[in-house]
Amino acid sequence: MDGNSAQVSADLAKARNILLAQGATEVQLAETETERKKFWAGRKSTFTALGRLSPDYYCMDGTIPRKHLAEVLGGISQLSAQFGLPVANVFHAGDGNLHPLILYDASKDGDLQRAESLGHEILQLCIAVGGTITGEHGVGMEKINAMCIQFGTAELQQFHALKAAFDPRGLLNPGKAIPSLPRCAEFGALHVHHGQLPHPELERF
Amino acid sequence: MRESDNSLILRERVLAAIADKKSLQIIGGNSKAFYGRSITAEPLHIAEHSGILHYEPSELVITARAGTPLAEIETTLAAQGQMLAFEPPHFGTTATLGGTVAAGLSGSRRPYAGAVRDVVLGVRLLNGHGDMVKFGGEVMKNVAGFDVSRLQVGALGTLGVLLDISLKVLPRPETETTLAFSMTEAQALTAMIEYGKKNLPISAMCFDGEAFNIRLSGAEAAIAKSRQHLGGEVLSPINAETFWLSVREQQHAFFQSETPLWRLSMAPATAQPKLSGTWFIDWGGALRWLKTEENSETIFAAMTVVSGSACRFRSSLGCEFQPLTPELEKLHRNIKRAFDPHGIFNIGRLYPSW
Repeated sequence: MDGNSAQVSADLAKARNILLAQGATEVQLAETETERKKFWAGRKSTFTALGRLSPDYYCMDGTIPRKHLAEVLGGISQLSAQFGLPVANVFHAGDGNLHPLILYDASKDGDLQRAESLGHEILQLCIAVGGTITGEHGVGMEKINAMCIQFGTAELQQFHALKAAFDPRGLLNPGKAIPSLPRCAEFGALHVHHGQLPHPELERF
Repeated sequence: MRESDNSLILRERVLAAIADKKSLQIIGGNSKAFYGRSITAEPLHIAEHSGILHYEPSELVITARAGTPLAEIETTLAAQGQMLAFEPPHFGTTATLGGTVAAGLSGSRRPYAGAVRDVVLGVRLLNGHGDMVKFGGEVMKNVAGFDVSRLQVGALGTLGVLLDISLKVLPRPETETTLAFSMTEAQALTAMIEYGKKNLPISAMCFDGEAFNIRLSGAEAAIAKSRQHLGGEVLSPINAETFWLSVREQQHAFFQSETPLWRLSMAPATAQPKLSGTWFIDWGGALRWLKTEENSETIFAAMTVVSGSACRFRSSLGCEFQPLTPELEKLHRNIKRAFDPHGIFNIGRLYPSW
């Protein structure tokens, strides 16, 4: 809640009533600054707490329309069981930005690859419900293949043309943020319309 | 309201223009034809490409075709207690959503609730290859790929034909109160800076040549507390609504004039530039309208000094934007070429030659 104290008090009362009407078992209001910080510590130390549960975790950043939260969380549980890796969900429910944390152990053979595959499936689930592969952290290299699913060939070409407007010689982080069409072709994610393979001239491996 | 998906027809027109090497002039409701440079090209009417596609009040998102009347969108939102928080000027009953986004103009609530650019979540458009491309989406946060949707805001149709647009919407304030104070221009500018620093539920501050007007929005208790602190004369709800509407639509007496009207954008605390004429100050000091006979060069130079920008907004001489630096001009041209390599869309509307 923000605004001046009268606004915050009014909004708090409203929020409390909504929560109780929705079946909240208990609604606590921080009475002091120390208590307020204690409430937030619960949220702010989740990532480090999860680090105690598992030697490694892989954090995702997909964002979805809020109405699909239950469906997507259900889907993540299913994928978690399918891949045999636990997933903890810490996120901004208010704006639909999910941070599923995939728990794995990099010292075990194949665990990292399984974690990455599971993460990729979660992002596909986010795209399928009208969401995006990244809400706030962006695309560098690690999510670049998922860009081939979220965007079609024409969009990717438009992104490359726009990048060239700022960087005509391709000096700035080439290969990052926007995948090249050959990369998407190799990844096998270019959309195929009417059975026609886009860019048949591109070499595929 | 008539609903129609004209995407394919519009695409055919764009492909034909590419083939015939002709340029197109994109026209929505034609309510903002005065804004931007005057051009002559084959008209591409988009008003029939109309209709609200999704509106989910609980998601705070609306998606509509570019030709949808702005009034229809606002009526639909108002029925659910919501609004376009950037308070878009209509400048006529025919205003469309596409024109609103392409013009990129926002009203008095802009410094406090965000500009049109801030609420554009996604667009589908036709680029200069005739490709139908989709960027962004209907989610609040999205950083996949470059922010192409927001690049369309204020581009005046030079970067493509907008087809569908998704916007973030907000709940209407529980209550609003407008306070008026008799003040001089200098006093009003000082008041804007002072009140802007305080934790007040402000949703508009303007000086109309005679009075400083401040609008408060929020919970009743919050407004009551601020009113006590501020004083001033309380406008009746109907007078307040009429006043802010007259500011938004430029029906206020200040704007009824034959003198050229300039739109000056600058940091809110900027000292009043030394230009002759009369002023109307909005956006808590960040937007200043100037009625003046000063020549363009003088005004552009004055704005360069304060790192602002000017536009001759309404004048018999037509609209003219602040010239770009050579570096920015090159970048703008490159961006234009990236979207419209054949030079089809609204050539010359924003700047001469492209």
